[in-house]
Amino acid sequence: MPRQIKPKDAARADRVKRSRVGDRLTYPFTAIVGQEEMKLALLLSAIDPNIGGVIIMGHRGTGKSTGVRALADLLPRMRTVKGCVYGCDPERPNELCHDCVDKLSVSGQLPNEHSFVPVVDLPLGATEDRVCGTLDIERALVEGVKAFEPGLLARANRGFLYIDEVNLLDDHLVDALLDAAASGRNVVEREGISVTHPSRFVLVGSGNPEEGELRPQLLDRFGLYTQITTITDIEERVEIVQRRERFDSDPEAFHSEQAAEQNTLRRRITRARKLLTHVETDPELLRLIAELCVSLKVDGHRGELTIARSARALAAFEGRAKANSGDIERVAVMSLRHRLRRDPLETVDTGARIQEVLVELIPMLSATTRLRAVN
Amino acid sequence: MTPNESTTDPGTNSGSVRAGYPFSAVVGQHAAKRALLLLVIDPELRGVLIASPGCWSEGALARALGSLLPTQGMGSVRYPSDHSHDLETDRDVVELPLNISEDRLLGGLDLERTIATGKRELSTGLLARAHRRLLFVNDVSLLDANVAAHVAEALDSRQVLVEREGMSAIHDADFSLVGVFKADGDEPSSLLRDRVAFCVDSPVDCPVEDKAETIDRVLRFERNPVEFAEEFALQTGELKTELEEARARLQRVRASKNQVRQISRIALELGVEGNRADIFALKAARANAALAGRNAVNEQDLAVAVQLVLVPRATVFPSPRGRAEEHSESSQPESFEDDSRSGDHQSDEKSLPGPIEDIVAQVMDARLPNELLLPLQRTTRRPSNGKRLKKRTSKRGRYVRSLMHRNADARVAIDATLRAAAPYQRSRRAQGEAAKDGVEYRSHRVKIEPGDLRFKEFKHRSGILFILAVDASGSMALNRMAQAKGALTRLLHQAYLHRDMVALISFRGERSDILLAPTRSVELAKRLIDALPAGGGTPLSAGLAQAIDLTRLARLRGVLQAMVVLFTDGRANVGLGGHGKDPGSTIAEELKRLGALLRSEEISSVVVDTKSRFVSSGESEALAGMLGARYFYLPRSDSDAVYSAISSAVRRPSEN
Repeated sequence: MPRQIKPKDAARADRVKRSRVGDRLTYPFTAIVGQEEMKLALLLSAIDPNIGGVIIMGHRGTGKSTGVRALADLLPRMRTVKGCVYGCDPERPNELCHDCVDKLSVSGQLPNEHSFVPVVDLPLGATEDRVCGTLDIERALVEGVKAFEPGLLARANRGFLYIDEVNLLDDHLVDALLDAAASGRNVVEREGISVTHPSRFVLVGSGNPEEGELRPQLLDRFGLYTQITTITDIEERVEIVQRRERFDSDPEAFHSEQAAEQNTLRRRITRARKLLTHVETDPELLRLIAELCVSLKVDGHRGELTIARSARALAAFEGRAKANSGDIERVAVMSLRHRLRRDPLETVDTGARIQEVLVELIPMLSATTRLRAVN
Repeated sequence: MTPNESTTDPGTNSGSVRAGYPFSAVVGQHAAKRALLLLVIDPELRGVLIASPGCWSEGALARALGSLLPTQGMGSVRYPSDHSHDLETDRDVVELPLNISEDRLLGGLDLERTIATGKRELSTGLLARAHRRLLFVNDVSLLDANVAAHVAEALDSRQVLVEREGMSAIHDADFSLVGVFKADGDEPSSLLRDRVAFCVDSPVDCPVEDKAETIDRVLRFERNPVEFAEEFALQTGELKTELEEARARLQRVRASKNQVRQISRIALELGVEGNRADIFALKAARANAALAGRNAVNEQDLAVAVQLVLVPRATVFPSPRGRAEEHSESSQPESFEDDSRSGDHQSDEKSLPGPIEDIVAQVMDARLPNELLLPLQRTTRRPSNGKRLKKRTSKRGRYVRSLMHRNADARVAIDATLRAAAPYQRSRRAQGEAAKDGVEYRSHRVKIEPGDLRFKEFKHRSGILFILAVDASGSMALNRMAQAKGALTRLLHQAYLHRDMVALISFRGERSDILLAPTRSVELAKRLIDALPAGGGTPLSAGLAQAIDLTRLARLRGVLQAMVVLFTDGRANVGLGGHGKDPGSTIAEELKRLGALLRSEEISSVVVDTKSRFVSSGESEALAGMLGARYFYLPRSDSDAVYSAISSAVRRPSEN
């Protein structure tokens, strides 16, 4: 019998389920062969959600959705207000939902618990009312009460919202997402319901450019853009096939094989998150970032901010309290690649152009800031 | 779940298909049969798509497969604990009709039960009902793009996530997909092709004896199905035992690392996109070994895997003999050839270019003529009534939101209607009680008044489809081609901004080719246009006929507006039948007929004259007249003007 879930319970379920899609174990993150850029981008946005999400575009069958689903299993747990549908953070009183604010003002404290970070799938067939939330029809029918029934944007709060085949998503859903992503809140005004609730999420999308183009507005919303291609190294390919076979024949055993590495990586993410606020970015580096964006004619400030945040997250991931030019080199391409696309028909790889400019700019830095990244 | 419940779901025309014709009675079709058997052995292969030249037997083959499915259902390997199934229904094949609506496919609010109980009740969608069964799609290439995307999503996650009409649910949907499509038509969606292991070409010319035998068997089957099935009972029984043994053996079948390497190398050499194909190929090889009763994969298994999994995904065609010389991307595979990493398997380097290479070469040879035949078959197809198609598409597309006003043939939006009615239920119930209407269960019923009704608004994702038909004949080869390319590029830019679709047809010599099926990827189109060669005669009619065919297909898939943009210097000199005796008048006749067709199908068209005005004797203008097309002259080195002229000619539909 299909599992029919009340949306409210579904929101709770997202915060307790882990490492499984339905009855099946997900493929572990650390067992993914190659595709380093994608893995780095996902890890960075797990460390700093403010980077603004990741879009993964590339060939079919290269592990795009495998990577995202594997990330869900890797994310460390977080503190949430007990019983809150939106999974509010008890330590951030100004980001609380209305219910939690009321609770706090009445009792002066919020009971909390550990929950998993939600990774919510947005299916292509979703309707707008389920994405944004709407009137709880059951309560309305039975009790005559106008109650709000949270949608996917509520479920994804403080977590990840994943859209596979993002380029096939309907425009009206894209609009709803963009509104929420930009403001961190979801405003619902429909069917006599008037609700505003927090909806901060990391948007992760994946798709194949040959299936269709993404709207430039949507493209710009993603912090990082990673390109993923078919692995052409024979030995790596063999490794992929063999690991997959091992996983398919005994998922449990494969998972315990990877458990140590998974745990190490999970701890690294936790540490990096703590370190993040302490990472310094030298003014000279900020200048470098600005110059890079100016010489590449990047509009707006999203590009600069993304590079700065990603470089910081990378330094934190590697346990350094200072970002350096090596960090910038490693994140610049994925931060800017999608912001240079003035002419959609230009087939030249924009990554190369970014690298070129960087190579010119970096020698002008002073020796101390030029320190290349260790590892 | 109890399968009975799901198959007797009322209100659906997509009931399960009873397996009647025995699988082993199907004549020929060796590749398709093999692929289907491997799928039954290892459901992880996910599915088979069969290109059929229009014979009868592929559909029967797929349907007959139902009788061979293991009694515990497809997922018996994975769900050994579950024996609660009805044995008969588990063998069933669930058929996906092309005209399925999204709520029937995914599931949605069950109006009757919701109203009766006052509680949200969910109806199970077709994808969920196909759980542990076979999902069969006839004419899979005509599947609506949205539907194909949903099927692909379910294949990926083995689940259906329902987030619609106020419902939130997860359904298991671990099915195998079997699709059949016409070999001379369009290909199935790449989303689907990528997610199943096999894409099989049926042989174009099946031998006369096979045909005769098929007819004989079909007639006998129709006369007495039971008797006919009995005739093949022994074979069917044997096959079933074989399959059961193979399934049991599968876990034990091993492939060496070197064999995996061979698979990857061939995939690389064929330019197969992605790494999923390698995984499928290995599974196919192992399943094939299991079927043969072996515990180790051998050369033959690899050959089968290459032929059924990798070759259909090839993007680079190695030349049949001596692949080194003409190889378009020879540098990369060559380096692997010299790679010393595989040196520890001494004899291997020598043995590899043996049977597997031959298989690749053979399959290539068999494929080509099939593709060469396509354009000729297309142009001779009878036109069908275009208006009816258009009507049907108006109710398709995605249910976007609800409206208060009603359009012609609008459908009621249940969720929104209930929501509108909900707040008034208490007061209406109280009124009802006061009025003493003695209806039973009165208190559970929802009272809906006409004012509550909301209607569904459907939306098509597609904008306009531009079919760019480019004359690539010799007369275009001079500098006109460069300018046409410039104008095309501008148009593509415009298409990108408006999220329109483009398709690219080029005609030269004696034929016309679809270089690019309708797509939103202008990048792909741009690359093809850049590489467009020119030379040969001008088979204008063939190009136009193909453009009309493409438009029809696109309309079936929900594209409402199509525009044919013809880039030509207007001198058609090759007719549909090639070089005829009196080409001039035949061609003019053909063009007039095609023009009439364009008008009757309401396809707008534009002729862009690429000829220099000094030389022109007005052929293109005359052509535009014959076709009822708008005429534009491509001024010297000013492609911007053409683009603005064309885009102004297109009525952009209002949002909706």
